[in-house]
Amino acid sequence: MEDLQIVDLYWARNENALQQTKIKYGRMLTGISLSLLQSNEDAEECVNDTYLAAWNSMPTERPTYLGAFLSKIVRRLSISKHRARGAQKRGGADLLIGELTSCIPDRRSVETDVENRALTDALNRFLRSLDEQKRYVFIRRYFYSDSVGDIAKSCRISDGKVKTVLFRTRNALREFLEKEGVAI
Amino acid sequence: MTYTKYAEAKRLFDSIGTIDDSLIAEAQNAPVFKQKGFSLKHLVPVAVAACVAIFIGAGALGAVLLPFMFNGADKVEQPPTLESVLNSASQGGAATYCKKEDINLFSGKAGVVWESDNGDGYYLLELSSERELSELKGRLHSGAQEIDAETARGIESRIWVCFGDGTVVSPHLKASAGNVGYGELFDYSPEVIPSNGFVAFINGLTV
Repeated sequence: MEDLQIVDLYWARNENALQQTKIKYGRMLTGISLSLLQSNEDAEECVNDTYLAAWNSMPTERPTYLGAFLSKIVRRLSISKHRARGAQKRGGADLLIGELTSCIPDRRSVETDVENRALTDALNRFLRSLDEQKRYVFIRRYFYSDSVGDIAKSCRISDGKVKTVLFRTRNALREFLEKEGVAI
Repeated sequence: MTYTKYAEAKRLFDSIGTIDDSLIAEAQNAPVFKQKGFSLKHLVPVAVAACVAIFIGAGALGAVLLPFMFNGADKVEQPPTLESVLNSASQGGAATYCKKEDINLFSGKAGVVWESDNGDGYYLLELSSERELSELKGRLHSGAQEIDAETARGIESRIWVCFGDGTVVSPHLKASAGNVGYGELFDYSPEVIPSNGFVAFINGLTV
């Protein structure tokens, strides 16, 4: 089923939307979450939370690229879970600090939002300046969290070539961000 | 890694999650990686290398007469580029194709190593004597031209000179203690273009 048709099902509050989403994107979402969390249980939880987030956000959202929209959600949830899990594992002060973060007022200022948007904007421009192959390798590694081996297989190139492309692209990104004066 | 740098890397990692949906969607399908294969353009550097070899073989008389045959003494032959010489050595069989694990940097034999076009292997051109290594060392950094970042980004292939005792340097890097590797074919960001003298010497090894 096409993305637009699935989104229409969400808008119509038709539960078949979730089934179609699972069929089309379930494997991809599980892959992203598993790469980040390395735990089947946690990955399954994040993917289910993603379906719930998608159901709750449509309407009002109407994404053009449903796969990308869902990928961003599952990635964000997985990273948060990983960090929370990490704090729990470390225990002691880290766990207590984690609990206390809810006490800290949201100091998100206009300045921080502007900086975040500037960084996103710079990343978009940098990625568009790359050729298709380098862009693919970079996004598969740092957004989709694919392993070097998986990227090499999908591109039919050697692991060494993938590592070289990543090394050079990271250096190019550093130079780009320095040149643009983007604060991180 | 300092705490600040790690925190900044975390922020960058998070920000990658906010890039345009169209970029994420595009990466759902692998592009076709074009393998650099033999094409007509490879005949040009081979022809140039062959012409240079003929001129060298003809000696001083050829070097004096040919400019006058082609509209006067101010017509100067362009020296071959490092890329064309390495292509010629790869295609012509002067260098041996091998995998990284087959290259012994401690064999006691010096050589020049460069990446193959498809990134899957390497070419090795062994030097035949200590004298050749000594001459190569003399030309390695001498006369090298510094390049800017944009030119450096255009240099895709990596090349190393291995001394046979584990020491590895690159003609693409300035002479400095920090640019000497040991026991590995390290990746690098090019800083210089080697001199014509270095390229001519490599070319001489392949003829």
